[in-house]
Amino acid sequence: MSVVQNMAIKHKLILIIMSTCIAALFLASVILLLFERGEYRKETIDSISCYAEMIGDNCRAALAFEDAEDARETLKSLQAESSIVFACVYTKDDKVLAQYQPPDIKNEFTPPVCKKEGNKFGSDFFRLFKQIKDGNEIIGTVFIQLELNQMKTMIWLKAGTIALVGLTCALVAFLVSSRVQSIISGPILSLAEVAKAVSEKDDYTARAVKKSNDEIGLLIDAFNEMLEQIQQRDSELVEAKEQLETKVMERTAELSATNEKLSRSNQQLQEFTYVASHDLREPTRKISSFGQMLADSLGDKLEDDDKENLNFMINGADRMQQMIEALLTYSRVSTKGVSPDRVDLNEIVEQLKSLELAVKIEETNANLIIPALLPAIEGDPAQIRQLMQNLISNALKYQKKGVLPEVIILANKEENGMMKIEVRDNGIGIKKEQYDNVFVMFRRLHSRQEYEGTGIGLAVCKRIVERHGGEIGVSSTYGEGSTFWFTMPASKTPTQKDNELEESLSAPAGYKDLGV
Amino acid sequence: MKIKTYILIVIVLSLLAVSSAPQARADSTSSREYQVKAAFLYSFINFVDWPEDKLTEDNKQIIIGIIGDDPFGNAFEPIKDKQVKGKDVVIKRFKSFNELNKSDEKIEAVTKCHLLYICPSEKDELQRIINLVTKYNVLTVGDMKSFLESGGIINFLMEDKKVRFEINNIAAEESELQIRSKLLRLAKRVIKK
Repeated sequence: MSVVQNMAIKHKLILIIMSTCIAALFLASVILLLFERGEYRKETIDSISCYAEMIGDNCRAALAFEDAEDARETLKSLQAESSIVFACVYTKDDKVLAQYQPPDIKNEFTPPVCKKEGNKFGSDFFRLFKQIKDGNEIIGTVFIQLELNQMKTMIWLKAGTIALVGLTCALVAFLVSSRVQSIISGPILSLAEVAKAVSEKDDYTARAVKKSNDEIGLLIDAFNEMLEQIQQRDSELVEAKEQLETKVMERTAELSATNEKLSRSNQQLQEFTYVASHDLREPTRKISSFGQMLADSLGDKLEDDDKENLNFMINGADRMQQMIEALLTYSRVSTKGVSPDRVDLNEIVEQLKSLELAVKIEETNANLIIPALLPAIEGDPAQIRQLMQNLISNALKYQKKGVLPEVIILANKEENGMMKIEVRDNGIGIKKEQYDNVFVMFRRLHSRQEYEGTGIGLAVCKRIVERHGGEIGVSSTYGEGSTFWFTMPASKTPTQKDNELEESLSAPAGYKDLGV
Repeated sequence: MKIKTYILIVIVLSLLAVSSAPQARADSTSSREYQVKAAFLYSFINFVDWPEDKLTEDNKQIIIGIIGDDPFGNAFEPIKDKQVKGKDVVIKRFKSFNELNKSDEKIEAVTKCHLLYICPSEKDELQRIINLVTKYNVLTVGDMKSFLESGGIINFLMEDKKVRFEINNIAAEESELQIRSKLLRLAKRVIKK
């Protein structure tokens, strides 16, 4: 069935017309043939009945006088009809009086038992019994057997003729239908073509031509209307897009102008900070150094109060210097925009251990543990260094009294591809309420007497981490220790070792196994 | 004594039986022949046309006359109710020609017959009988030699135990009788012009 469904419309139409025609022709032929056969049969019955009657009539005397010879003579006249293969006359006692067979037939034919008046069409023969009557009295019966070959041949001939006619009709029907089907298929095909052209070339200006006022015409109208609507929407879209683009351009221009302004002002600010702090440094240095010189030269000659006062001054100047230093660092973090690079944390930590933090580590007898290799991250090496330095020095600074500081640095790969680095200490810990406060600029949780510091370190760390697109945070058990963590993007140009390491760090249970 | 009488009776009876047997046989064969001839007489009538005034619509009967020693016996029994040409058939018997002459009535009756069968017993009077009925459109049927030569119209004859007949068509024409060709065809011999 799908074969038929997938045929072209043209072929479908022709198929429909042809199958209708052929069915009709076939039916007509069959009916005609049957009718012909019926006619032939009727004719046969009529003519043979006629013969039988004539024979019967001519045999009256022969039957009356039981003259077989005469009856035989009468029967001989049946030679005229070549299809008669046997005939006989029965007396009123159903005995055969005389019989006839055409001279060329060799086989003896046995006359059948006399039957009542009637006829029958067998497959090869036609048989007829006719009674000879005198008034109401039956004086004898005539029997004639006819061979049907001739009739059959006639019928076959007729059938052949009808078949030939049928074939010709079918051919003509085919030719006519091939032309006429275009009435339906033509408009459909042209519509299909337009549709195809529209979809292939995205040309919505194309229109189908309406040629008729029937359902196809309706279809074409609807199609054209659709195209019209699409075209309209298209142009509206284009307009809107243009408007949007203009708007976007305007906004972008505004934004970039603002950006420019901001960046300029930022730059100015930073420059100012840099210059200012630089300029600020000089006098404070002077205060500090000259103060020290004074202390050195006048140390013995001064009263305790004065000595104390001088020390306060020097300390104040030192502190100011530190703060300015911190400010500078902070500003540096903002100004310097170095193109990110692969940063090996292990190297950084090693360097810190041996250089910047060497003294501090020795002083505090601290233990810096790095259980597993740290990964490489993408960032500004100097800033990362500053970050690590700040975190580790904090860990060392805020140690518990009487407990040797132990700092553990761990790394883990997050689901979003960022590296999470943790710096754990066993220091004094931080209260939960203060978690956010520790990262605020100049905010300190302790006094200068307890622990020294400027209050800038963690703020700087936060700034660095956020600049790199990561996050920073802390979790702690007050009195036991703190864990400072931050996330950073993994190195964009990892080495093979980095990759292997990354693999192993993906397992979340990584550092749990270390029993830390 | 008893036994002897018994035997005597048996012998007499068997003698009688034996003596009558051939006759009976003769009777059966002849009665078969005469049954056929009787049927033929009826059939003849079917194939012969009488002139208008002899056999009209008003005639309700066809008369078959038998003159002489009737050999038919009860041969007409099976067919006595049969109609020929739509009319009943009546058999009239006449003893002999001599008898006939004595009565005018009888002569008239004879002339009224449509078919007259002249028995072999009337052999001697044959010519006279025929002369008598010639003018009266009577189909004369006989069963003896030279019947046709004497002016008879149809004469029976036997051939191979089958009943046949011969026809004198000239005599028929003289009696204004039309014999159909079908019948003529079947005759062994036809005398015609």
